[in-house]
Amino acid sequence: MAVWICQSCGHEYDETKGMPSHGIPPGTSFADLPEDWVCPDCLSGKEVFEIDGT
Amino acid sequence: MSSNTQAIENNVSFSQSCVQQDIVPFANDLLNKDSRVYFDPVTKFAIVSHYSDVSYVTNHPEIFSNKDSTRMGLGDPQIELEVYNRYKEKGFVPVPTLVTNDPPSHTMFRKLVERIFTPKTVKGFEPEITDIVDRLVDAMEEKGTGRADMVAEFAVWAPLYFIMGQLGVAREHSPRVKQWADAAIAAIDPALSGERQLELTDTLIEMQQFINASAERYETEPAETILSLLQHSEVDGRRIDREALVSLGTQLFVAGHETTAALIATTLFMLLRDPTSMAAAKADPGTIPAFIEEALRLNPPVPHRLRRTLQDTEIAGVAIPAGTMVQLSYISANRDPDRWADAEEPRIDREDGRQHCSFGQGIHYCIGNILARTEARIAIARVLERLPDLRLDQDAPSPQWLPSFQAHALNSLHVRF
Repeated sequence: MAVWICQSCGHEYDETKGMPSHGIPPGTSFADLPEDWVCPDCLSGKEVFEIDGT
Repeated sequence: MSSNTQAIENNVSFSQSCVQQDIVPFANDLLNKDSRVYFDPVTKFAIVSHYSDVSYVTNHPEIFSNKDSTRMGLGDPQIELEVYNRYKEKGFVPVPTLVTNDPPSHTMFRKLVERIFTPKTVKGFEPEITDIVDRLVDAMEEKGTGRADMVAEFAVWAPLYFIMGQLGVAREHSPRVKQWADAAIAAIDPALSGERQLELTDTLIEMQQFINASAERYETEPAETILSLLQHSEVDGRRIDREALVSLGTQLFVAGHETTAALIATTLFMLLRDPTSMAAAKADPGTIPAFIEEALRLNPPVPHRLRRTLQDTEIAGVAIPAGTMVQLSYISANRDPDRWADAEEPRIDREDGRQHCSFGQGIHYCIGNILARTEARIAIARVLERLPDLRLDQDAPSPQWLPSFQAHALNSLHVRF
């Protein structure tokens, strides 16, 4: 389980937590998010996210 | 009936300074009108205020162009020509890059700049930002009066000193630099006289010349600054030319300073008037970012942005002809009760608190948002830690919102500590 960070706005997608309020259950890997999924904060596409390397 | 629920008189214009200085009733009144598009009687702009409509416009750049978003077409053509000639002869004719551009050219510039404003890069700026903030607090303490104007002595300078360093402009030029920034904001007021427009053009050309001088230096002596990194970056094997670099530097300079200064002062002001949130911020600085988002939502430093329609279209069932300037009222959308529970209340427990419109949305989402959020967080956290008895100065004039078409910012914030 990893955390993915939007390089446009800093939003964090934590695979462990998912996004239950958006219908994404905990444990959903970033790769399993739909291809047209966008950052909920800035609406950037999946390609803008990078895995948290810190 | 409170001013928040009164219908807007049909002759009220956002170009009026009295409206700009008391923008919240206007913003809320827009949401209460029968029609979801309000045609400003002076500017003729179609003002859109509901969150869903603002989102629709920002996410359809193929219909709503950003290209003319600061050149509103209201000026005298002879003055416009003289402005162009002055830029051509003495400076650099502004090139559409980020703020005033559309794909595909916008995409290229966006790719270039995005690499420099990543969370990781901005994290690397934090020690410098903290040092700047601490030195400004030192200076306020060293006066020995226990009083300060947090706008004039702090909020303006923290982001200004940082961006000056990143553009290679020496600290000794800071008073002049402040004039450049003010000129850049003033130059996009649609009510500007021709004479004033030419004066401001000369000031902005001086700013271009300073940025160009830095670029000359970085050509042979690259540095770890934003301007140098931009200058030496490549997209698809190409470096950007000097005209575009100067335009980008100018945009980053203005956007990277005035708006963040407004955000810092506004956030402090809102905290000083909200003892519960202030206590929470002091007890747990981890809550500061959420409060900053609420300051952004309720009092966005950029209260609206403009688009021009490329074709006949409709917004919420209202016909909008091609060529119309559409004013996206971020401050209204951020207070839309259909989108936000307790829309008028700052609440740090909002799960969707970052989804306000204050940085735009979609392809024009503010590229410096991470830097702005970081600067504001560090500034607020350091001030609250170092000046724990910070309070409004009841003997000094109360803060007022500046009369400005383009900025929503306080004129002063007098405090005691």
